[in-house]
Amino acid sequence: MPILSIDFLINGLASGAALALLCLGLTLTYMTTRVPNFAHATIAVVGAVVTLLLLDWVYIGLRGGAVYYTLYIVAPILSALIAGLLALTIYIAILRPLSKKGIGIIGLMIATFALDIIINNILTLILHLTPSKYIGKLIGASVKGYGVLVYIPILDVNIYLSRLLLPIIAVILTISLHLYMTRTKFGIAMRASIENPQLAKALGINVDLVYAISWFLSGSLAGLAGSFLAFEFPGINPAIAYLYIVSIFAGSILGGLSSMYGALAGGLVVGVSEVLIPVMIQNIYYTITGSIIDIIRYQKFISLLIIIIVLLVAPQGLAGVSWRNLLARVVRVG
Amino acid sequence: MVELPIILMELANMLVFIIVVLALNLMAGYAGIPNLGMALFVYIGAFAVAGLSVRFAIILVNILNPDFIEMMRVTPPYKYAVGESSILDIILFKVTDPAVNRHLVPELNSIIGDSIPLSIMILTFILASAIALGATLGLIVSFTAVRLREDYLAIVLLAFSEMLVQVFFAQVDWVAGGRYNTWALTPWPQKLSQSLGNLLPSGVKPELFIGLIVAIILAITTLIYTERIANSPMGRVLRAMRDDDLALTSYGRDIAKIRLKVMMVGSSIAALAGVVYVLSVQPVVKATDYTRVTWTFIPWAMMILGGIANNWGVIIGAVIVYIGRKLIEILAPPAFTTILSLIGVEVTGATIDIVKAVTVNILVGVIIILVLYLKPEGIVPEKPSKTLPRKTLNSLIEKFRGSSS
Amino acid sequence: MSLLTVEGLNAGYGKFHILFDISLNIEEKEILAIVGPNGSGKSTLLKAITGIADVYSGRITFKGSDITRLPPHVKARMGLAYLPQTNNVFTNLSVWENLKMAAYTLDESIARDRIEEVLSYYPMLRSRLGFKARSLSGGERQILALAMTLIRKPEIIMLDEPTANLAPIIAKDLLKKIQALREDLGKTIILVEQNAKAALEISDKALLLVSGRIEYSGFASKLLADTELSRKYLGLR
Ligand SMILES: Nc1ncnc2c1ncn2[C@@H]1O[C@H](COP(=O)(O)OP(=O)(O)O)[C@@H](O)[C@H]1O
Ligand SMILES: [Mg+2]
Repeated sequence: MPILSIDFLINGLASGAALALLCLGLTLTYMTTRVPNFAHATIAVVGAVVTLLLLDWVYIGLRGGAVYYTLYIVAPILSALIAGLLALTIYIAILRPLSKKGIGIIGLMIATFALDIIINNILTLILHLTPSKYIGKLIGASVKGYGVLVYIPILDVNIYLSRLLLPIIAVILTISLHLYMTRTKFGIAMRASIENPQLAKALGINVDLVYAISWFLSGSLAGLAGSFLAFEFPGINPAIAYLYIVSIFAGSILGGLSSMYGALAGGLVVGVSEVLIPVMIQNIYYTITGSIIDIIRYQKFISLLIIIIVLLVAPQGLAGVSWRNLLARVVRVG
Repeated sequence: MVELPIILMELANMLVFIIVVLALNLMAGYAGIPNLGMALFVYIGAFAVAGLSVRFAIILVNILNPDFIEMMRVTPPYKYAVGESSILDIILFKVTDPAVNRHLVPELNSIIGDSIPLSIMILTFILASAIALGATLGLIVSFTAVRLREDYLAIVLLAFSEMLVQVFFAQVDWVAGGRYNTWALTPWPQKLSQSLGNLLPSGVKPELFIGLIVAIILAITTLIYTERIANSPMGRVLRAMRDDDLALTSYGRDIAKIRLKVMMVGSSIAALAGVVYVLSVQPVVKATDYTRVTWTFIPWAMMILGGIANNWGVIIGAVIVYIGRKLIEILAPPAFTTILSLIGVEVTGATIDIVKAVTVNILVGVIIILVLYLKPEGIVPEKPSKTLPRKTLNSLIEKFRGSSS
Repeated sequence: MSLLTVEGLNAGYGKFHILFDISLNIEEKEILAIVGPNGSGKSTLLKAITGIADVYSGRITFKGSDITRLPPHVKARMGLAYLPQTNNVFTNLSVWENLKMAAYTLDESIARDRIEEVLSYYPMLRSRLGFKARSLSGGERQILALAMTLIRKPEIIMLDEPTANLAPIIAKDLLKKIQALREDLGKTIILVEQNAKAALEISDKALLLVSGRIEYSGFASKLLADTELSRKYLGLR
């Protein structure tokens, strides 16, 4: 048995891409408003639920036709929009007023912790009470079977379209975000406000608007990732967010919580590791002993390990590592 | 209408929450450690009574009666599950197997109940192991982030709690039952139960009564203890550190030490609360029941509502949230039934249960946010304490430096 | 009529009263040096004029109109520029991006012209346009900060210790550049300096602050010549 198969690689890549987008969003709001958003995973689940409802109410009825493929455009966009607006509302209606009243970081953090549970329970209620058109029971519904399978001749594998699209979209988004942040006046102003809000204000930059936009962006990225993840979750139960948030924090802490590129890299590493490491261990173990150990259900442990290692070894994360020095040293040694 | 045993059980349960909130207040309120991993520490106490003490008990019993484990191999119903396993195998892996656990625990209970010394030994083991596990976990978990900013500490605590309780303990079957539940020991002497049974009103189980007494004793002890810490020089240093960013930079190392100390103390108290919960309220222990919603989120709401860094305040908060939650659970279902049938949803018992839980959780969340917005100091605000002059603070810190190294 | 006057100013931060009864005035195209020991309130005075510190009483007028209570960004738009002691450029942004941010509120075409203007005035920056401000030397960074200030064509420029932490030669060069702002562009300058001698040499007027009170106010040359005061407070012989 090979240590890794091509499906698992693509699987890992998709999971890494989704987590990269989620870590990017979490890091973005942390950099601007300094709040670790404990509700971030649940906002992603909002995206998954929107996709599920869209499937159940509209798209399943269109199966077989060419229109069905628009699912992969309509669902992510709608999910991103709704999740983005939700995150924006959270910031404008709750976090900003609290912060203006002088509530500190811990208070704001607890507020997001409470919001996480509030939104999660509302989602649970929605999934329980919404009558389903096709799926039958929405809570815990697996929508994988409704995804489009694509055959790739060179690799000779069938792959879910969502898995193929996720890395591609993540790359496109990363490039556009990079261009936005470096080429547009408002993007540069966002970076300026993140580094030095006082100076930015003095120069006439509307820092409040920058913060609001960062929350909208963060929510949209989460909604988009959630929309694709809907096809990956074993079943859409909002409580998945309670574990998923740990992976998001792991990727963000690995990224250093201080740089968008760090967040993308951190998310990618954690997401890929969570999928591939258990499989690799399992396959190696099988090759050596000839028996199977079932460790995939402990895959989330990798996130905890990464958090521990990063905080003990390099609490600044990837963003804190001086890559130039490191490279210089490696080159000198080599 | 509501029977006495139920009221007593609710009382015990409320006391458990009071103990948890006092522990949380010590860590979060006084020391500024935003513990979002309370569920883990409560669970580890529950584990001490269930998965762990059963192993200790079977070893003890086997020492007194060397054939005990040997006999399990041949007597039904054990023999089907145990088979040819070695003694170590049985102690480590089989006692949590539901096929064994369901029979073994009642049998151990009756053996322990017959012997007062045995019962005392088991009880001591339970308390000692809960304290030791709580303190050790508190130390290990906070060690990674104790030198970092509070938000990192919160993330790490949450991560550990979710991973250990909901992934490790909930999935690894042999340690603590995993996907199945395990039963806890009731380590009370038979004689005590019998004589109490004659005194108590009918329907009130002696175990419940004893559990309640333990809960009362532990709650009072915790209150006195945390009040003393709060009013001690250490409490004043804790608050000074919590409020003073400057202290964070100039005393980083000492803060880390004191934080670790507080984490160990607070976590052991939470673990003891877990013990009391199992002994008096819920003798069937399953990791997935120890959710962050019940054991982290609700205690936080209680603390914030009552008044952070005020022990009496958080007790009031605990009572209000606990009773409010119960009232909703009792009074709301008829209303839910009406509303649900009005919007045309088929009403089943399961739906009502979900709507009930969801409503409580949403309300508790809303309370947290409203209190933060309207009255962040809570119902009973923190007692103003004179800020320490820097010189006094320095000398106090010197003292801790001396004592802890 | 003076360009800027301060009369009987009492200011500080919340309950910390720092400045007591400060008065000063500055005419167009003058250079005023504010000197004094560390912690005497020099920065606070600039912040009070800018509107960042709290003014308890007193009056600040600019071109004859009362601006005491106006918010900082309005004062900035009126032509009052304040260059803080630290964090006065965005270190993670390139030089060009910094200049662009300085021109944030201006129309695109005006912004382009103004950036072009300061680049011809400080050609050194042109060769660094793509570099992160973080990679500039201390002196280059201060020049970038000056350039960012100039983009908005202020009338008065208030500088808080621009030469702090600079090597002596570079500090001297920077002070020359500051003096040139008056000569070339006709700016009025208020200069807070640790290096009292160098500052007084390029200034017309001087204000000596000690513990939040005025100890001397008058010609810079006279303060420089006053052996008593300059030995006691400025560490000069
Ligand atoms: N934000 C602040 N809040 C309270 N006091 C401050 C603040 N900033 C400075 N101070 C105090 O004001 C006094 C004057 O400081 P400053 O104006 O910076 O002096 P200088 O610039 O002359 O060195 C000092 O005692 C300083 O501690
Ligand atoms: Mg100063």
